[in-house]
Amino acid sequence: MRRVVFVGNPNTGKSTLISALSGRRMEVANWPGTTVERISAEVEAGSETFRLVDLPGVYDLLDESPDAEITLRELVENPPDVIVNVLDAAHLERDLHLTLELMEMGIPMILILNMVDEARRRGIEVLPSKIEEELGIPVVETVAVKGEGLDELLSAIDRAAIPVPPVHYGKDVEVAIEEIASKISHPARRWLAVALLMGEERDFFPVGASLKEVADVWRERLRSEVGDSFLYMEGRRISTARGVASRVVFRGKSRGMIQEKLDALLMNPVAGPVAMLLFLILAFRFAFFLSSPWVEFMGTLSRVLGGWLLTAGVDGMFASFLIEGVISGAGTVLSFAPVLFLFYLVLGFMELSGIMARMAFVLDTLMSFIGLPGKSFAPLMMAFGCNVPAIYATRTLENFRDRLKVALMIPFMSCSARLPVLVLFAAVFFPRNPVPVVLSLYLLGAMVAFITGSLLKKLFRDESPSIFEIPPYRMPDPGLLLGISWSRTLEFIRGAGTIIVAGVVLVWFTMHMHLYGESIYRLVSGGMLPLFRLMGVDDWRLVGALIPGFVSKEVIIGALAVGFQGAEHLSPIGFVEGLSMIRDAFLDAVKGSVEAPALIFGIPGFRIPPVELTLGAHLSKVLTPAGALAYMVFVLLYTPCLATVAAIKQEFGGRWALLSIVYQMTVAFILAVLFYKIAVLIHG
Amino acid sequence: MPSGPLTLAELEVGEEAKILSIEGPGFLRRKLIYMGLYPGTTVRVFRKGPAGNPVGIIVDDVLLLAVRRKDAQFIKVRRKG
Repeated sequence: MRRVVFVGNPNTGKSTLISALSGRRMEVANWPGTTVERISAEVEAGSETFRLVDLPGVYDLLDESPDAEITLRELVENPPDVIVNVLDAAHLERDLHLTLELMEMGIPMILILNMVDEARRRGIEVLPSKIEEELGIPVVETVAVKGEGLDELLSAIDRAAIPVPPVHYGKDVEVAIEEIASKISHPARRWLAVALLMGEERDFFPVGASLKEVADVWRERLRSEVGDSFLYMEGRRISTARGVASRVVFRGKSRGMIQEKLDALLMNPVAGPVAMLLFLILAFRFAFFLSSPWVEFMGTLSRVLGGWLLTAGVDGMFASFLIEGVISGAGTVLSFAPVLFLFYLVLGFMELSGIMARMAFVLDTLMSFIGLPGKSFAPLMMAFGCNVPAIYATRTLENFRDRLKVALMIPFMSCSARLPVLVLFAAVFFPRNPVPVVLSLYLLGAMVAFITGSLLKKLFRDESPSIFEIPPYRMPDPGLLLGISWSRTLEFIRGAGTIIVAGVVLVWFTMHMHLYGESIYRLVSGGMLPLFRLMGVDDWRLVGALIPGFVSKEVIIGALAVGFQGAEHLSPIGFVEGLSMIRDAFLDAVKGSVEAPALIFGIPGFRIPPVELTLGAHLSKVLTPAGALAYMVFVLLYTPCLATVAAIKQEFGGRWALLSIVYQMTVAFILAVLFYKIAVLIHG
Repeated sequence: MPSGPLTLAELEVGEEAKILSIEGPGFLRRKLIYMGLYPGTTVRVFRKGPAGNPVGIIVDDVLLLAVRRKDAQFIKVRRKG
């Protein structure tokens, strides 16, 4: 089976090509040890099966981005049988730059002119036969989204040939290249020799230290002749690409495009940000309303499973452990899945359609105040729905520091799970104006996030150049979109799942294990009470609810209810009865999803269920309004949930996850105390 | 510090120019070259972001790029027609 890798600039449609070639049956995974997606597929052509692998999009193999490193490493360490170099026919000259480099790698190669339809609309005609003549390798025209040229592509793979390197670097330099290349036994010897002469090296280059020294000597010797060898070599590639392009590209009249009209709106300095904000709010609300019925479905499912266990005679402590520990832990993980999947669909659509690049453009100025690119606005807005996909969404940013910065800001954005807690306390303690109170808290969260960003800007000084491409609007390939979203969701379940289940089980243990006749839960809450007295919270049950609240904010109200009103016991459920409960819950969820689109324009509800009103009566006996305000501030700002911690650990490592917890706890505590003291000062 | 002739940052929306040279730190120069901005290419400013940042340019009539103004200062250009 021959291994065929697809290489090209970003946005040239490589993944869409693989999706189309495989009939949308591709595997989506990650490159080992990275967060860069790896798309691959097996495709049969005649009697042979090809293994197609999509290498991350790069502008140049020597670019210092993580994507370029993966692509270069793969080509050097694991040379494929064939390179399929995908170019956007509309800007051939720039894309040819990479082609000329690839042609020095000593690997059989073909060229794909993709999106020729788009190029034609712009009045650009490229002659494939002419390029074949110029470069001596097969050239095929395709329109990946319409499935045009796919058979030709597959049959061209058979005609792939090791290219004759097209760039001539001048007599003296060629002597140096030849001498260095003769000492390398790797198919990419010419490319490697050129790279060494440019003063570039990577730890995975198959060359010894002595050869690097030889290259350095040559580079110094050539300096008088060509100046900076890096710029000189790049210059030769540029002029060769320009020469080829000038002979194969023909320009006619461009037909007007819808693009300009859409851009006039989306990239307008005033209307653009407003339109983007509206789009984001609507898209994420849509994802949220579509997924929340399924969260309830998951809840019913785990309740029924628990009931069945009781019916089956599993009893006592062990049943409680299975139901309240393991099953409810797994339920927590699974209840995130629908939310994540839908949020990923929205995010993937934005990335692949070209909307994200426009957002980066109009919000660049605003985000540059905290040293971030405009794109980082999307994960921050997403965080209002759910922090977990927002953390993963930081992947859309290229730079590790930018990603980390946004990830440390995200937990302060109030997610939908914090809303019910804030609403309950606001309704009980500030009955005359609960809505302004909740809104101010949201604002407070956003402000703390923004201040965090400014502080980090001072800490991480370097700002990488912000230059990015704005691709034309394109309708994303549905198979690709679903594939990527599904793979990202699975990755969360696999990666964060164990941590969350372990957390829930741990909380169960604290509640059921006793020391000196008291549950550990009670002892820990009591032990922390003196700290919370500083913010006017003087009841161990209020402090206790924050412990499961660390695992997920959804359970705070439930934990308070258990603390003040006693536990609600699981009851045994018969098999048939359970099945019909699951069926009803499923139908309700379907109905809820169908109704979702109508809900997205509505106003969030502030209704309090009657059960919570009794809880409210209990709460008002043990808390003053000032203490309640402090409690709300603390809930708003402390670690949102274990899933967010797990996501940070998965993306940035355990050290940053731990540091973020410490930071959130400190900020939450200080601000809660501060708000309490101020409230007491004002109202006495 | 950038000095001398006109830079990309100073062009108004709608103006077209040819890139003469690219200065500034090496990593920036490389990035710009990789993205398709090098001496000899034609650029037209098609739009600017809020407060004039970033600068949206069309390279050789086809390629849309966005460059922050502080990076655009390193791109020396000559106005066309």
